[in-house]
Amino acid sequence: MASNVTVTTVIFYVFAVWAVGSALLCITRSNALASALWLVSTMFALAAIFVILQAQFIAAIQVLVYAGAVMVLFLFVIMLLNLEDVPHDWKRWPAWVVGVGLAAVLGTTLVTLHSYTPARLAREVSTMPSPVDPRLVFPEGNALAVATATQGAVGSVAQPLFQGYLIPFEVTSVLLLAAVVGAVVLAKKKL
Amino acid sequence: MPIDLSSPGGATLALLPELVLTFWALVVLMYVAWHHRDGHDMRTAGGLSIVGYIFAAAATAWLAWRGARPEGLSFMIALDGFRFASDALLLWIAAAVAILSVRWLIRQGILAPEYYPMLMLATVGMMLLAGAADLITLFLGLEVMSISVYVLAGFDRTRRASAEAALKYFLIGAFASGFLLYGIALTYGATGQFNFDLIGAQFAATPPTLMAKLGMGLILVGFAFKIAAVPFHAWAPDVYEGAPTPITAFMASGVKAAAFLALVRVLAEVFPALVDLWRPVIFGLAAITILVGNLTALSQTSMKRMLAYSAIAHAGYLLLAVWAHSDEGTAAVLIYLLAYSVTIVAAFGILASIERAGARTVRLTDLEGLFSVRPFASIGLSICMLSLLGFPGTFGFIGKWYLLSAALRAGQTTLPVIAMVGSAISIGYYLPVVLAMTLKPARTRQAHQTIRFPRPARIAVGICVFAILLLGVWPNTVLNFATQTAVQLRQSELPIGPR
Repeated sequence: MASNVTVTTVIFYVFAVWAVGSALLCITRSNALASALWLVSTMFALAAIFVILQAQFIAAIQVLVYAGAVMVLFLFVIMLLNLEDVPHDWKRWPAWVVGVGLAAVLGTTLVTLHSYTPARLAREVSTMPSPVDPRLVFPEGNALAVATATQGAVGSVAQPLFQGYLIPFEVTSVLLLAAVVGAVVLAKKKL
Repeated sequence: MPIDLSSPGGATLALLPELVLTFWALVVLMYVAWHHRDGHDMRTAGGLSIVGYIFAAAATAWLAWRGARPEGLSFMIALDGFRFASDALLLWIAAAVAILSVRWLIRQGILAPEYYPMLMLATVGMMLLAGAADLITLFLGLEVMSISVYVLAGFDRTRRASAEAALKYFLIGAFASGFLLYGIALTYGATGQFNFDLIGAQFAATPPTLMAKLGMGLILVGFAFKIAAVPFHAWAPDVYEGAPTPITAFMASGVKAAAFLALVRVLAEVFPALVDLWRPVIFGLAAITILVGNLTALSQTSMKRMLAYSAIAHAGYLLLAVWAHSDEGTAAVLIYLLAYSVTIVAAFGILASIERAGARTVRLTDLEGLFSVRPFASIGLSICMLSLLGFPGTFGFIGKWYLLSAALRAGQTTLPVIAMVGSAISIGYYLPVVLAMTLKPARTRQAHQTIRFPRPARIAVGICVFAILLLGVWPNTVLNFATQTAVQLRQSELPIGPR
C-alpha cells in the first residue's frame, strides 16, 4: 500500500477529508446561513476532486453553477425567510435509529465497492454477451483521460450529452419547464 | 421509411408527434402568459390546446402512414405500430379531457388557463413513457407525466380536498419513482445497458443475475404504484376524489393507459427471458386487485370514489392480458384501454355536469330520479355503467372478452374465473346507479335543476356513448387494426451472441 502513495493520493485525501468535514459541519450548524456557507466549502472540495479525476470542465461548472449561482439563490431564500437559529434536539431517538441505519447501509456499500475496481467490473461484464464493447461501458480507469486528451475537456462532456443522450437531455428540459409552470400555478397567490 | 435514430435528423423525425405537441404547448403557454383574466381566455386556451392535439395526431398518422421503422438499433424511442397506436389513444384521451374541461373550469371558478399547457405537457410525458425504447427515456417520460399530473390534481387551489389530493399523489408518486429508478439502476448495473433491445438480448443469452432479478422486481413495484394495483393502490381513491373531475377522468384513463402500455413494452422487450419469474407476480397482483377493487367498491356512496375503486378493479382485469404475454394479449390491452377510456370519459363528463358549483361530491342518492328530468344524461350514464360492467352489446364487453380469451389462450384458467367472479360482484355497484336514476323518484321538486351540460361536453360525451354502442356491435375495424398493425412490438434484429 505504501508504495502506491503518490502526490495525487495525498491531495485526494486532503480534499476528501475537507469535503466530508464541511458536509458534517453543514448539517450540524444551527444557523442556516453558516450551513449554506459550509455547503459552499463542500462544493469547492468536490470541484478539486473532479480535477484529480481529469474532469476539469465539470470542476469549473461545479464552482460556477453550484458554489456560485445555486448558492446565491439559497442565501437569498434564507435571508428572505429570515430564519432563526433552531437548536438541535439531540434526544429524538427515531432520528438516531434511522440515521445510524442509513449510515450503516451506505458504509457497507462503500466497503463492498472498495473491492470493485473499474478493471474488475470490466472483466466481469466482458463475460456477458453484448453487441457493445464492455470496455466502453465500464472504462478501465483511464478512459476519461484518453477522451480528454483526444476531444478536449469540453468535448468529452459534450459528445455524450448532445449526441448519445440528446433525447433524454431535451426531455429533461421539458420536465423542468413543467415543474416551473406547475410550481408557479400552485404557489402564486393571485394568478 | 427507415429512420436512423442515432442521427439528430432521424431523432427529430422519430419524435415528431412529441415535438409538435411540446411546441404547441409552448405556444399556448405564451398565449396564457398575457391572457389569463376571464372565461374568454380560458376558452381560447382550451381551443388552442385541442388544435395542438390534432396536429400531434396528424404527425403520428403521418409517421404510421410512411411506415416509419428504425434503421438498426431502436435508439431511445421506439418506432413501431404499438407506439403509433399508443400515441393515438393517449392523444384522443387528452383532447377529450380538454373538451370536458372548457366550461367546467369556468363554472367552478378555476380561472387559470395554465391548466391546458400542463395537460399538454402531461400528454407529452405519457407519449414518451409509452413509446420509450430506453430506460432513461422511460423514466423521464414518467416524470414529465407525473409532475404535470401532480399539479393538475391540485389545480382547484381553493379547495382543501384538491390540495390534499395533490400532496398525497406527489408523495406516493415520488416514492414510486424511487422504486422504479432503483430498479432501473440495478438493471443497468447487471447489464451495462439502458436500451430495451440490448438488455433483452443479454438476458436471452445469459441467465440473469440476482441483481437483474431485483431490478425487475423494483421496476414492477414502480409500475404497480402507477397503475394502482393492490397492494399499491391506497392513494387512488383519495386522489381521484379530490382532483378536479376532468382530471380524475384523465388519471383514470390516460395515466393508467400510459403506464400499462409502457409495462407491456418493458415486459415484452426487456424481460421476455424472465417470463417465468414475473408471471407469478402478475398473477398475484391481478387476482388480489380484481377482488379487493370490486369488493371495496361495493361499500362506496360517493360516485367518484366508487369509480376510483372500479378503476382499481379494471387495472386487475388488464393485468390478465399482461400475464398472457402474447400478441393477443397486447392487442387485448389496446382494445380494452380504448373501451375503458371511452367509457370513463363519458361517465366523468356526465358526472361533471351534475356537480354543482361549490359542493362537488356527487353521491349515489344525488342521482335519484335523474331520468325524469334529464333522460339523455341518465341514459348515457346507464350505458357507461353497463359498458364498465361488460354487458353484451357494449364496447366494454368486447374489451373484456378479448382480455379473457388472451389469458385463456395462454393457458391460464384461474385468472379468467377470478375476473368473472369480480365482474359478477361489480353488478352490485354498477346496477344501483342505473336503478337509482330510473326507478327512484326525485327527492325534491328542485332536484337536478342545477345541472348544466354545455354544448362541447355534450357533443364529446355523445360521441363517446355512440362509440360505446357502435363498437359494441361492430368492432371489426378496431379489432383488425389492433390485432394486425398495433401489436407490432419490434423484435430485436441485432446479431447478438457470446463474445
